[in-house]
Amino acid sequence: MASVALREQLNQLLTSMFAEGLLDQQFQQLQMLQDSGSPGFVAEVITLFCEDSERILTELTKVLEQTIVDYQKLDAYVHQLKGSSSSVGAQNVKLACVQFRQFCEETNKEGCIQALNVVKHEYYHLRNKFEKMLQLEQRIQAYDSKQQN
Amino acid sequence: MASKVESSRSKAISILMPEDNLHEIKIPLRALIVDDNRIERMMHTVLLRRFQVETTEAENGKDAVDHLVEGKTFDIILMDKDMPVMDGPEATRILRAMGFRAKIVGITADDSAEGKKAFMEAGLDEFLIKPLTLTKLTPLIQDLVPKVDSKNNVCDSKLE
Repeated sequence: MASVALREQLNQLLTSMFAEGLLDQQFQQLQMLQDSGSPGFVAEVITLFCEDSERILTELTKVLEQTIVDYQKLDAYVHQLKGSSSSVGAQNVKLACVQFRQFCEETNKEGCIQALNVVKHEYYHLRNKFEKMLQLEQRIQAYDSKQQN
Repeated sequence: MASKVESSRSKAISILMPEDNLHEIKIPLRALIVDDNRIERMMHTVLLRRFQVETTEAENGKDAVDHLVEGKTFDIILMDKDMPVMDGPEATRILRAMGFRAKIVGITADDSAEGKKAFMEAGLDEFLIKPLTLTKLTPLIQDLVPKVDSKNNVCDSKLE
């Protein structure tokens, strides 16, 4: 059955995301909060997370492009991203933010630039996986709806 | 005491199965969620709604204070520590100075002893480390629910 195959693909994708450290148990908390009353909750949170993250990454890039870097501003943005990533269970992004904050505290511009690159890498890698996950979920839902009709 | 329970927000009461001769009455509790991060506000809102808690949100400490100044009442405030405009410790100090006596719980990712101490000294009742989970919130919310005996006398009301 196509639905079974799709669910298997989704399970394998999620398993690999946990195994790679992209996600931690907080993501499971998120999944537990999704119910019949809020069926699209996880997708909504992921969408918001991606919107916020990309906005923050843009701001971080701008701050680091300045001749004189405002490290307080930089740290504030990284703090926000760390908070969001922690809430959704985006483990590797969160850890990259922790390292980034360390460089902010040291006012180490080179370190901050490298850290931003790491955060971007981890975030975009996660985003790609999230996109695949949401596509699979949509296909499963579409298939299930079709079967019911 | 029983009349105090009855007069306060009498809508939608559900009575669970009796346990040790205590009837646990759930009255919709009201929570204020104060956090500059919209994802965290959303997460906390959904978590609290699992306990049928009504929620209001504030983006920073000043917005939180404004809600109270406008006359809104809450049984519990979840207060983030680091926020722009007005941070959690400052908002907590102001709320206590205004006479707010219900529970204020500090929520932060900063688990350092000095960070916790400074925030607690501002007037918190409790402190939780992010991210919040159902497990962390359960004892907090249960503590707010008044219990009554089989004659509907309140045994342990935490409501203000």
